[in-house]
Amino acid sequence: MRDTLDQLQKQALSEIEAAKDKEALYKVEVAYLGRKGALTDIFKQFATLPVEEKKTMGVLCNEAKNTLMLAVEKKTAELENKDLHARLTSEHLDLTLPGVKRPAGHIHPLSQVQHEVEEIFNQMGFSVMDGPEIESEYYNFEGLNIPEHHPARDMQDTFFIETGVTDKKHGRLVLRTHTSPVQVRTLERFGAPMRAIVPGRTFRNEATDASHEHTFHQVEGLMVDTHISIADLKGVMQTFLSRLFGKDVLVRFRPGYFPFVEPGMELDFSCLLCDGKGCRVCKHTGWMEFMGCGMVHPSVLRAGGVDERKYQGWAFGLGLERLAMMRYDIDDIRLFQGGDLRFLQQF
Amino acid sequence: MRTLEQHPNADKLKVARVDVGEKELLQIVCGGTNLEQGHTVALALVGSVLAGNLKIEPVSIRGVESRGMICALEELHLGKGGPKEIMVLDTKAKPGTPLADALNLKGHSPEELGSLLTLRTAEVEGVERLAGDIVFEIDNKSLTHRPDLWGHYGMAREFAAFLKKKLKPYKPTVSFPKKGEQIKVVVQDKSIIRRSSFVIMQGIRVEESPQWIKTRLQSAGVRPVNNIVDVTNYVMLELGQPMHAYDRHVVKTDKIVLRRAHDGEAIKAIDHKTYTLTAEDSIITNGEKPLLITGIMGGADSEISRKTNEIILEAGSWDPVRVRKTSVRIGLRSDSSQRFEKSLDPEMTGVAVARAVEIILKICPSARIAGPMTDVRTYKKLKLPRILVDLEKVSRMIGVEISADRATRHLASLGFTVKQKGVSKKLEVTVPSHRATKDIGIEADLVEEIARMYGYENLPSPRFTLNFPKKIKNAH
Repeated sequence: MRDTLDQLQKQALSEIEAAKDKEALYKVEVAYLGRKGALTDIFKQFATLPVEEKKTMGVLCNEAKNTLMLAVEKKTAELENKDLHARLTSEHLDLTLPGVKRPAGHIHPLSQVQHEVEEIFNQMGFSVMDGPEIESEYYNFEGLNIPEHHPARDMQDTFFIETGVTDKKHGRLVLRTHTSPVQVRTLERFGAPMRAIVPGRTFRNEATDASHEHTFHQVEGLMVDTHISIADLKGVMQTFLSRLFGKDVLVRFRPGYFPFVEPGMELDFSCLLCDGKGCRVCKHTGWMEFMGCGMVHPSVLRAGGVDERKYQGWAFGLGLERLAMMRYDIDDIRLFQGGDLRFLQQF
Repeated sequence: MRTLEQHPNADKLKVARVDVGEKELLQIVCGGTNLEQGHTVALALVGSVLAGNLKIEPVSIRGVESRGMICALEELHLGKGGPKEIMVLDTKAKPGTPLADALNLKGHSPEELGSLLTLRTAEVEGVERLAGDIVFEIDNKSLTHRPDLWGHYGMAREFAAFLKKKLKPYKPTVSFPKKGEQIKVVVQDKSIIRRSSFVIMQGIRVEESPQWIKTRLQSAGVRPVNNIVDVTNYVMLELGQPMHAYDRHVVKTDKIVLRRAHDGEAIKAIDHKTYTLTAEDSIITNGEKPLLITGIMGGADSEISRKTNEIILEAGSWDPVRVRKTSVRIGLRSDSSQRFEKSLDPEMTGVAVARAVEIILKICPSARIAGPMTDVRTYKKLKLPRILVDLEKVSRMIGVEISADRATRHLASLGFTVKQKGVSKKLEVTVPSHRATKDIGIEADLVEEIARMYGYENLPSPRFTLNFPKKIKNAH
């Protein structure tokens, strides 16, 4: 048995030495030291030995085991060293090389203008509010004094959402055609007095061209209190536009019709290019058409749960794209949603 | 004209010495044939520029100095005078008074009138000079809520209101005979009609319209057809009330039936297309066949032709929602349907028929009225809304103090009847029929009328501070 052990140890040591990589070494380790390995077999034969021999063989066997384990350990270290050396010679890392630049995203021109609008209105005491893009027919139309057969519904080609369900009060679901539904929603939620603007995405089912998009952005404005007047709207818009464009801007009203305001007006502002003298851009009128506005219709106040005998106020809806187009001299509204980096990177 | 002498070197010229309110009289050479000493005339002074860029300068005419030009009506674009006659003024104005003041022409150029209309009423997109008229091009969209502005008279009412002029009443001078041949109307469904007016005319000669009618139609974008059709279109453009003329012999009967169409009933319209109708549509019939899709278009069979010598003139006021639905469903929009769907003033039908008769009698001398006008209405008296207006509320909404007198003046100028209620700062306003069908129903509507006549541009614009003192909470 002792001879067998000697031979086994010799052979094992030579196989360990011969192992070319960690995988081969692992195989050798298992073959001798594993649960079913050759050395383990010898331990199993102890049962048949007399007590004295058991003692001597036990010491010898343990010595052999330790010798082999040390050898494996040594060989492992040696192989790892070799590996590292090989990698160090094959791989170069020059920490002094300049890094690779990752393209960074930045703020979309519409968002830039939106943030500016929000900031200026914040400074005038208006909160920025939110509302859903998927809206009910009630909030998009009826609540705004636009009943079913009203011609105003002709003017807005609406995207309807197919749900197969029509709610008794709320009708079908639509992609909101304007931000005005938030007039009713905000009044319902917070009541009067109220100063708020609501920027948001709006949708119309219409053919697109340089000045029409199916998806665009509006900013709704709402100011309600016991005494808010048309003159106040003139003042707020004049202050807002002068601040936004960094020069004195004048505004004017013309009569206009929107079912959810009365009186209803269109607001123009003095041409930025010619300061109201008349040029090609303003079609020689001195004015730029800008937005619809007016005094909130009593039935809209009622729909918002506000007492229309006590409270009054105005609302407006301005097109964010139009503002950005004038600001940056952009001539095609489709560029905003087109995702063309050559366009976007200019801002 | 203080003195008047013969020109020494020209038979047809005279030399006048004219008082212009200064110490010295001005010497003017003039060729007018109606010159008389003592006349008050219009003198273009040196330095003035007349139409066609005619600059008035000191000149010598056949050796006589002339320091201005005595004007004819044509030269001032004020009308037409006799050949070679100067304009003679019948005025008490002193010598030297500006002509515009003497004639009370507190003038606005067409462009100024256009921008006033834009600020007060509806958006003017262009001002054009066409065949001696000024044509304002107005954006349809700014008129969707104003049925009264779909005719020139409605626009004239607005001009009169904001220029503080008196509006001439729209009163055709026609007397209808008490007896004679008359249309009998059977209304089978009252929901389709508000009012309808008919009259028969005989002795008609269908021919081209006179030039003045053709020119005006063309200026408004309507193609002239023949004198009868042109008159119906003329009245539509003038008053805003669509009309129709039928060939009485083709209609065959004087009994007209107004009813719903049968499902599948067809009519060939004047555009020579055949339209298939449903029970939701309404028609005018001769008791058998459809003659006209109400509010939209007449039938080709009974249209006016060269052979027509008797006509039935008709002006109706139809249910606006039904007209709109039919027009959308059959895909036919006309000048007529466009107006009816706005909900027209039913009080216009009778006056429209009278106006058409008046013009036809003027341009077709052989024509005569066959009998009384038939006037059917489904209401006894039009309900005119009465609205209580709180002047404090009005002032609070507009943002300036509006006095009872001012509010009354603005509203009255647009045809509203206003009663001041003592010292209570309240007005009781009755809406006239031309505004009662659709757009005026509540106090806020009247705030708009007062505000736009006050002039939005006259409102103050309070500066807002950009340092709002409190912290603002945003939703995001």
